[in-house]
Amino acid sequence: MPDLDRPKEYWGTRLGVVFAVAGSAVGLGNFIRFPGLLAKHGGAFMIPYLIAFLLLGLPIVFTEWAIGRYGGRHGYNSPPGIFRIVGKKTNRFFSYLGMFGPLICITVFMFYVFVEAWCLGYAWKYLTNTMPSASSPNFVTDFANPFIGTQPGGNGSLFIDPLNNSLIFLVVCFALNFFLVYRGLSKGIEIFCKFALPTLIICAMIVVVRVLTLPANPDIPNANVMAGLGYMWNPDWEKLAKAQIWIDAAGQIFFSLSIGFGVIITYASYLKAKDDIALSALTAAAGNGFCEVVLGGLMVIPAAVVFLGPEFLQSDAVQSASNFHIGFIALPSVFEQMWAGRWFGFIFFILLFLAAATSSIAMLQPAIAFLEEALDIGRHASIAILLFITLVGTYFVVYYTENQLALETLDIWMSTVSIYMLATIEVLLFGWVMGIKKGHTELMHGAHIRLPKIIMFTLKYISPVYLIAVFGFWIWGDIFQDDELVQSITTSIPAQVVIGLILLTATFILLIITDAFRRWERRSTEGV
Amino acid sequence: MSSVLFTLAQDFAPVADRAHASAPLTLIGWVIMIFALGGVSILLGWCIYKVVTVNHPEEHLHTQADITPPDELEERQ
Repeated sequence: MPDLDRPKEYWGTRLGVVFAVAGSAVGLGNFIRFPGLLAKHGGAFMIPYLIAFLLLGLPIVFTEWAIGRYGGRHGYNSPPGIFRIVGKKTNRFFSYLGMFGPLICITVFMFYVFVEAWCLGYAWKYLTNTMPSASSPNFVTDFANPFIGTQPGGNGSLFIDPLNNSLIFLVVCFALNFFLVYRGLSKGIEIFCKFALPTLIICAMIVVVRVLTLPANPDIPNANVMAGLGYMWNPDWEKLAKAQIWIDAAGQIFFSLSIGFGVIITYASYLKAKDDIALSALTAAAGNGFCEVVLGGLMVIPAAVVFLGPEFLQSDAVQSASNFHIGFIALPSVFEQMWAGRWFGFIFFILLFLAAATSSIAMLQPAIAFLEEALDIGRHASIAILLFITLVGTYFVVYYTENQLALETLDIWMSTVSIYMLATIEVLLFGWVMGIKKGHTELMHGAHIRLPKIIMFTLKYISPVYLIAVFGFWIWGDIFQDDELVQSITTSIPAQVVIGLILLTATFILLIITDAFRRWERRSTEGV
Repeated sequence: MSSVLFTLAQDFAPVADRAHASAPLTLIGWVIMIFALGGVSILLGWCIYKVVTVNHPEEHLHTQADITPPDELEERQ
C-alpha cells in the first residue's frame, strides 16, 4: 500500500494547518479566471455560481477525496486505474472513462503554464520598474496585448521579439515546472507556499480595501465603485435562461477547487485510511470560496469599472477575450493608484505565479501516475513523455495568440466541458456504482466532522440530475440551436488545431489504457 | 492607420443588450452580495473553528500540497 510522507514538523501550529488547508485552493482560478467570467456574464453569473458551489462543488470535492483514498488502498493512483477498482474490476468501460483525468491535466497544463508566465512577466516588470503606466490610454494596445500576443494579427508575434514579451517567461516557467517535477523538488516550492499563500491573501485584502475606497473616475461616466459592485451583483434574469452561464459557473467551481481534473483523486490515493477527508475538503472549499468571491471578485471588477469604465467590460474586446485577460488589464491600474504600488504589484504577481506553479506541478502528477501505472515505467521516463506532449501543445497555444483563440478553445473544451464530464462520471460512479452507503462509510472513516445526510442525498440524486440537465441544455442550445460554437471550430484554424491536438492526446491515452488492462488483470488474478 | 482605428473602435464598442449592466447596486444586488459574502465568510469561520478545536490536526488534515507522491520520494532517494 502506498504510504504518505508526512514530516511531523511540517505544520507546527493549528493556525498553520488552517492556512495550509484553506490556502491550498488559492490560484489563478480565484484572482484571474473568476473575474474574467464575471466580466463576461455580469451579475447574473453569481446565482448559478453559488448554486453550483452548494450542489456540485462541495459534494464532488468529497467524492473525489473518497474515491481517491479508496483506489489508493487497492494500489492504484491514476483515475483510469482507480475507476477500474471503483467500477468493478471486470468492466473496462470505467477505466476508459477515467482517461479524462490524464487528458484534462495534460491539456490544461498546455495553457495554464502560459498564464503562469504572464504572472511571472508582470512580476518582473514591477521588480525592474519597467511596467508601463496603466493609466495611459494605450496601456492595453501598446503593452498588455502585445505582451501576450492577443492583438489583431498577433499569431506568431511572440516569436518575433521573444525577450520583450511573455515568451521568455514561458520558457522559464516551463523549464522550472519540469525541473522541479524531474528532480522531485516540488516539496520545496510547496513548503515555501505555506508562507507565501497567506501573504498573498493578506496582500489581496489590502488591495480590496484600496479598491473599495477608490474615488469615482471623473473622466468616465458611471465609473465608480458602486457601479462596479452593481456590475458584479445585479442579476440579469434573462441571462439565466442560457445554459452557457450555468456550465461556465460549474466549470469555474470545478477549476478553482481543482475538481474534475483527477488531481485530487490521485493525491487522495496516497492518504492513509485514518486520515480526515471531510473537514480538509470543506475547509479548502470554504477558503477557495472566500478568496474567489470576497477577494478575487471585489478586487478586479470594481477596479476595472472605476479605471476603464463599465462600457469597457461590455465591449466585444473583453467579451470575446479569454477569461484570464481582464485581471492583467485591471490590476495594474489599481497598483498604480496605491502607495508603494510597484512593490505591491511585484509581491502580488510573484505570489500569484508561485500559487500557479504549485497548481501546474500538481496537475502533472495524475498524468505521471497514469503513465507509470499503465506502461510500467519509471517516473523519469513518464516525465520525459509528458514533456514532449506538453511542449508540442504549448507551442500551438503560444503561436495562435490572436484573441487567445487556442487558449480559449482549450479553456472551453477542457477546463469547462471536459472537467464537467469527468465530474459527472465521478458522481455517477460514487452514487450509483460504488453505492452511496459504501461511499458514505469511506467518507466518514477518520472524519473530524459529521456530514449531514442531505449531502449524500444530493450526491445521489440532485448533483447527477443537475449535471446531466445543464449539459443536455448546453448541447441543445449551444451546439444544435446556436451554431456559434460549432462555427468557431469550422472557421478557425487555431480552434481546429487545438481540437485535433486534444483528440490525438485522447487517442494516445486510450491506447495506453487498452495495453494496461492485461497488466492490471494479471495483477488482479495474481492478487498483487 | 484608419483601418486600425476602425478595428479598435469596433472592438471597444459596447454591445447594446449589455448596456443596462452598468447600473449601480440595486436592492436585489445588495441581497445577493450580502448572502454570498456572508455565506462564504461564515462557512470559512466555522471550518477554522473546527480545525482549531480538533485534536492533533497536523496528523490528520491534508491538502494536495502536503502530500508527496511515493514515486517522487523513491526517485529522490
